[in-house]
This record gives sequence, C-alpha cells and structure tokens, in this order.
Amino acid sequence: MVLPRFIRNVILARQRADLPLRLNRRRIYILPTRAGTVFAFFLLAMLVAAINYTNNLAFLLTFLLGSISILSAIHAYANLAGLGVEAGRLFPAYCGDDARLQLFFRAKGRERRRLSVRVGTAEDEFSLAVGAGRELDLHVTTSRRGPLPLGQVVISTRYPLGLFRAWSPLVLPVTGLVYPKPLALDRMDWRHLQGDGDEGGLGVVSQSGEFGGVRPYRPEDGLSRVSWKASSRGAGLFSKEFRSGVARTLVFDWDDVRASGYEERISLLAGLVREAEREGLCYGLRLPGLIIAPGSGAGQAHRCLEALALLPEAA
Amino acid sequence: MIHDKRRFSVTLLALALAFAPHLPRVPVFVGVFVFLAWGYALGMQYRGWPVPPRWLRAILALTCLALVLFTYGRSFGRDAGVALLSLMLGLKAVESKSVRDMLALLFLAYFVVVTNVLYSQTLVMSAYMFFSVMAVTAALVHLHSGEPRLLSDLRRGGLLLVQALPLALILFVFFPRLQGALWGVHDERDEGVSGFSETLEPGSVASLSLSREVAFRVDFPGVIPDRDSLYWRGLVLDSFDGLTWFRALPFDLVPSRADALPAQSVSYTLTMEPHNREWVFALDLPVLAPRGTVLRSDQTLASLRMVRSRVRYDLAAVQAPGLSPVPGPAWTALPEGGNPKARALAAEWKDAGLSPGEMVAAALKLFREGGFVYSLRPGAADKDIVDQFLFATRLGYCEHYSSAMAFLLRAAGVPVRVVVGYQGGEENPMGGYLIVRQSDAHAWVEVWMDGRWLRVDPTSVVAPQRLVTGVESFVPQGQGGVLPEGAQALRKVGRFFQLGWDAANNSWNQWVLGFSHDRQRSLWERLGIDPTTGAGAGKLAGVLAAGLCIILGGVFGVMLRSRHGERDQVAFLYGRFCRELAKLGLARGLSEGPRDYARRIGMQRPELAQAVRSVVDAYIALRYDGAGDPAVFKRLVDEFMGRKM
Repeated sequence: MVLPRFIRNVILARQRADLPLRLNRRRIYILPTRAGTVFAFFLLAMLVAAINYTNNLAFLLTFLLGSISILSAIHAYANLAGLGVEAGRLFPAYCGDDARLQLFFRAKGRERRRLSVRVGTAEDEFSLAVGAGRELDLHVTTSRRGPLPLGQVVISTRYPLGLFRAWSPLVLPVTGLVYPKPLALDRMDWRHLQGDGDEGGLGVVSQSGEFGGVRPYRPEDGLSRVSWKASSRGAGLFSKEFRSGVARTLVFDWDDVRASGYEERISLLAGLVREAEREGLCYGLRLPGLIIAPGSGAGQAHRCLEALALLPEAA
Repeated sequence: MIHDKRRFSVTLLALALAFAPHLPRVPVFVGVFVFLAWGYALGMQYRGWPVPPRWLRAILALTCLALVLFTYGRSFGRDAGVALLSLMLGLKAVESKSVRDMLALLFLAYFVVVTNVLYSQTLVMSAYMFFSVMAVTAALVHLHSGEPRLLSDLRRGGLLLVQALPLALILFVFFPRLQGALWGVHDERDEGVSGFSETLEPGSVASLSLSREVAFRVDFPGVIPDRDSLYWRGLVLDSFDGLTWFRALPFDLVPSRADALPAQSVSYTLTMEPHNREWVFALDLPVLAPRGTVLRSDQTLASLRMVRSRVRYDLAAVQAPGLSPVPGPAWTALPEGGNPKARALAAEWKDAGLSPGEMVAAALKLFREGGFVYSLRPGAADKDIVDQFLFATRLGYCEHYSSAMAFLLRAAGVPVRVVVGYQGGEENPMGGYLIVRQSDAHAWVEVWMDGRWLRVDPTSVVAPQRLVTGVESFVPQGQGGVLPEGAQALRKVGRFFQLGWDAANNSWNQWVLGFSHDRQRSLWERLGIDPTTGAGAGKLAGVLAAGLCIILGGVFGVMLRSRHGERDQVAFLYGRFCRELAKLGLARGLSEGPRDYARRIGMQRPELAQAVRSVVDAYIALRYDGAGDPAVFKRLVDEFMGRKM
C-alpha cells in the first residue's frame, strides 16, 4: 500500500506510543479477514435459501452463525484490549546481521490466546495466562549503520474464529544501533600487520609492554585480563597490568588506515575493533574530531563501534 | 508440526459430527469414500503418507461427480446435492495441508449442518444441529488458539454459542418474512407421508388404524369439546362405483364470511402436518376460510396449494348445518346392478313408505341388532361387497358401515354422501391441546333430510366406545390378551413421556418452525404497528436497536471483565497504592522492587515513611512469604488512601 508521505506521517504520529502502555480502543483496529469475507457471502447464500424455502430452522441457524461471527469480533477485540506492553529493547547489531528486539508483554485481566507480533518481516506468536508476563524475542533485519528506529510493531490476533483480525499498530520509542559492517580480517594478516605497526601500514599504533603486576579489577578491563591467580585469594578480582611486551595497547587511527573509500574505512576500523576485542587487547580509537581513550571490554567495544556507527554519511 | 496434526484430527472430528446424520441418507459408496478419504488424510498427517498428486485428485473428483450423476440421473435435487457435498468433504480433507484448508473444511462442515434442515426439523435433530454447530465452532477456535487446549476451546465455542443465542432469536423474530418463495422450489418430500387417499374402499381407513403418526394438532382457546362430537371433515365423496366411493361432482366455492361469525361458533387453531394434498381438516362444520384456503359448497376446506409443510390455521366451526338446496339426482345415483339383496331391502323400506328419518333409524337398528361386529380385519370381499357385508360377514370397519348405509339410503332414493376425515383425538394434558393421529381416521355419512345435510355415524351404534376411547380399544394387543399389572404401569409411564415429548415437539413446531409471515404480522400488530402502512415502525426500530445494543454491550462487558482472583486482588491493591504515590511524584520505577521503593520514599518523604513501610511489609508478607491476611492488607491500603494529606 503506497500512501503519500505526509499521510503516512500523520498515521505514524497517531501510532506513536510511550512505554509502558496498555492497548485500548484508540489503538485497536478490527476488520474481517479474507476468510471472514468468504464466510459472510456464505451466510448470505444461506439466508437467501432460507427465505426462498421459508424454512425457519434454516433462518435460525443462519442467524445463529451470523451472531456467532459478529460476537467473535468482540472476542477478538477482548483478546487484544488491555494487553500491556511494558518494555521494549533493541540490542545493537552489526550491519547485515539481525538485531534482537526484546518486548515484554503482560496479560492484564484476562488470559490471551495466540497473539502475533510482527516487526518488518519478523513475526512470532505467543499466548499468556491471566496476569502472566512474557518476553518475546524478534529479529529485525539491518541494512545500514547508524541509529535503528524500530518502526511499526503490529500486535494482532485472529482468535477465536479467524473471521476477524484485531490489530494494534504501535510506533514505540525504541531505537537501536547498527554498528558498521565489520570487514573480515584474516587472522594471519592481523598478526603479520602488528609487526610493522610502526610503519603505519594499517594505522596500528602498537606499544609493547611487560607484565607489571596486578591492580584491582575495573569493569572495562575485560575477562582476558583478570589475574585468576591473584583473585583466588578471595580479596576481590584483580587485573593483570602490563608495562610492555605481553599485551599491547593499540590505537586505531582514522587517518592511518589504508582503505579505498569512506565506508570501507569505517568497516575496516569496525573490523579492527571487533578483532581487538576478541583478542582481549587494550585498544583505542582516533576519529576526526573524536578520540576514544584505550581500554578494553564490552563497554569499550560498544563505545568505539557506536562512534563509528554514528559517523556522518560521506559528503 | 505436532499442533497441526492435532488440529487436523479435531477438524475431522467436528466434520464427522456434522456429517453423521447424513450417513444413512447418502448412497453406500459415498459413505465409504468419505471415511476412506478421511482415513487417508489422517495417515498423511500422522504417518507421512504422500499427498495424492493433482491428476489423481482430479480423476477422483471427476469419478465422484460421474457416480453421483449416474446414481441420481437428471433429477439433480436435494439428495444428489448432499451426496456431492459429502464427496467434497472427503476430497477436500485429502488435499488439506494448511490452516486455510482446515478453515475451508470447517466452513463446509457448517454448511453440512445446515443442509440437515432439508431432511428433518424435529426437536431432536435441531438439538443435534445446535450441538454440531458448537462442535464446529470449537474446532474453529482450536484452529486459532495457539497451544492446543481442547477443553478451553470447547468452552469458548460454547460461550460464543450461548452469547449468540439471544441475538439470533431477536433476528429470528424480527427479520421480515416473505410470503412464498423467491423462485420455484422443487420439493422432494413426497415419499413416506401417510394419510388416507382421495377415495374410500374397504380397508382404506382400517390400514391407518395402527399408525400413531400425528395428522394434526388442535388448540382450543376454551374447553375442548366432548370427544364424541369431534368430527374432523376431510372431504366429501359423492359417487359410488360398486366398490369405491369417490368424488366426481362439481362443487361451488362459498364466499368466506369472516366478518359475520355466527354466535354459536367454536374457534380453534389447527396445525396440520404436511400430507402433500390440498385438503384441510376442519371441525364439523367450518364457516371460515382462513388465508390461503377456500370453502367449498360441500362444507369442506381446501388449501390453495399442496400442504407441503406444517401449516397453522385459525378456524371456526358451527354445530348446526345450514339449509341447503335440494340435491340433484346425482346424489342418489348408484351403479347398475350388483348387491341385489341390499337393493331389495331398500325397496322394502321405500314400499313401506318410510320417511328418510325412519329409514336412517331402520338402518341403524339393523346395525345394532343384526349381530354386526366392529372389526379391524373384516376379510376381503370381491363382488357385491355391500351384500356380503350386510348379509354374510357382518364384520366391518367404519368404511364398511358408512358405505353400506349410504348404499341402502341411495337405493331407497334418499340423497346421501360419504364424509371421510378424523374422529376424536387425544388430549395432551401437558400442552392443553388435542392430538389427532392417523389412527383416528374415520368415515361417516351425511343424509339430506328436512333441507339440511345431517351427520349420521353408523359406526357409533355398533361400537359406541369407538367414539369415547378411540380406536385403540379395538386394536388387538398381541397374544397375551390382558396385560399384567406391571406392564400396565409401564405403559402408563411410557404414555406420560410420550405425551410430554409430543408437547415439547408441539411447542417447537408452533413457536419456531411455524413462525410464518402471518404470525409475524400479527406480532407486529400486537406491538402497535400497522403492517401495511408501517406506522409505528420507527418506534419498534428504536426499541430493537436498543435491545441489540444491550446484548452487544453485555457481551462486551462480560468479555472485557477482568478476572481478579484472590491473588490478583493483592496486586490490584498494590497497584492502587503505587498510583496514589505516583500522584505525589513518587512513581515506582519499572525495575524497583517494593523494598527499594519503600526505602527511597522513606528518604524522599520521611513523613510518609511509617505508613508506606507498613503497607509494603504487609505486601511482601503476602506475596513472598505466603503469610499475612489480604483483609489486613486491604485495610492498610484503604487507610493509606484515606489519610490526611
């Protein structure tokens, strides 16, 4: 369905919703399904037959089936109304991978049977007992780096008879982040390049260090730096500290990376960050107008990848 | 998917329930095919049997169609349609894979349920149809309900049905009915309708004497008249060919005098079972022709159309016949020759100069004192049947007596005619109405005396109890003769249930099946609407709309009602408590547990700390320790809500 952009915007604005929310009549739409339309024609044929044969039992059955189908619309509405959408979270993902969307639902008041949630092309179904809560994971496709607005989430149900579909389109204030697509680096290359880092081939600034003792663990240290021996004494975690040699601190520099294009440069840096994080190294990032001090751990990786993801588009 | 297998089985089960009543009606090959196809379809689901290729399915479909056409020939009607529909049920099941296919199957199942009305509309069948609608609805729910929880789906199906009933009833009562069909209806309901024929010959009434089938039911607004005065006229036979009485003379139509109902008339309502003839039975003598019927000059009623479905008539009767003109010679005509002894007897009467009244008395005296016996099995006669009966066997049923008496009187030159119809009826104390059965079929004569046709029932002098207790006292009861007392009591109980059942059926027929265009009109008139001008219809529409809104609103209310259990009452109170605090700017964080929440409030608003602490402690005790009293918790929350700000 192609609508002019401004109409789409108006519709989307209506669907904007803050979490947590409960689905109510302002947000729920209901229409017959295709099966429902077929059934309506079928009922009409039955009604005509009943009129023609002036058969009262046929009248009664036709009206009974008609009433059942109309009431099934109310049942479908009730299955959706009052459903609580309590929280939503979109986890970061590399471009091209699926981002994980986590939504948390709660059945308020009544049990819910077979609700379906669709985001883009991802779809999943669930049921809830009275008062029960449940989180649902959906996988959202990514196509470009940068912020990932969630777009429209559609919660729908065809329960109980499949003749009506009640649905609620929501635009939730959930934004994810798509990291740049990391350029795959060959492991061997990576080792090899480290050696002539000073020559700036890949823009790797390497510093050798030696094991210098232990200090109290800081979250950004990463598990690979935990000194298990020191920590085993029971006085908390300790990290190994390097002066030079054993671990290196790397700073990936925007200007020193040799790449053919703007996006490729970003991808290469993202690949380096990912690889450095995998190796448990201490690394930093130097971008135009932004320097991220060396560190390690998931937080450091996220900081670096976020900075890369949010770089402006090439001019 | 395991769920799909289960869904498919449930779909087939619903289908089988819907199809079951048709099983004895379709040809054997159709039934066998349907069950084989369903068996194979189950094998596809559970054993992974291959889906038959498209060409095979096409061949099967064409073969089925050909077989049906071969079986039914060109008369493609109800039976052929149902057979074809049944074959479709089998074929569609074999190609069903997706949920959408199952949906189509269940729609077909609804359709199959509805086709039952073409065969049977009895109370039992209707109840079964409602049951199958519920089953199919539950199967539809099962198809759309996520995890298979059959019991809960069944309950939902039942709930839908129960909620839909009042709505359906309103539509049923107020949906405008037309008079007659939209287009021609070919009706196949000819077979198996019992009732007497258009002629009277020895054995034609006796053959009905064992049939307990209902001919019609009668509702008297007042007291039911005495049983021996209940003569239901069917048709008047005017000619005799030596064996059979039949109708040959032309008759006039009497203009209906609905406006001038005589003072001494008895009004009643008669509901006739279909008999595929045009005659309408009416209490002796009808004076009114209700809509759709005509009154003939021989004082019988006839419907303008064949009575193919149950019809309800409002009728009135008068006791005394009116004056009628002198009948022509045709009313004394007899065939040439035959029955010489009877003719001789009649000539004797005539020569003795007896008046018609005296002749009637003489004939009745002959029957009463001549050793005549009332019998259901008088034996067959081939020629001179009147002579044989009067002077040899002296064994006969009502048709013998009427036929003989009419013959004697005609031979003596008195105009006489034979009337066939029903006599008596059984009162149903539970419904306060009269049931007239085929076994009440009767024949009597009418003699033209003193300018009127007067009823004479020769059977009444031979077997007077026939008029009081009905024909049953003459029906032989097996070899045992008198039944033992226990069996008598059992018979009484059986009788009681039979009558109760008939009352239930009668109400069903009257109020549901018999609700017609005319009765809808009279309902509208009673509601203050003029059906022709439509005045007052607006008011009714308003009331109807309000009624529908109330029903729909009620269902809305029921469906949107929250189900708070004991446990949820606590959650509900805690929610109220949190909302109250939120109003004070102390909203609970999503991830904030009760203890942390209380601690934070204690720091931010020390003056609330004490009250909040006690509520939260009670909450924690109830929720996490399984201790504490919900009533105490409720009191604490109420106190907190009602505190002095």
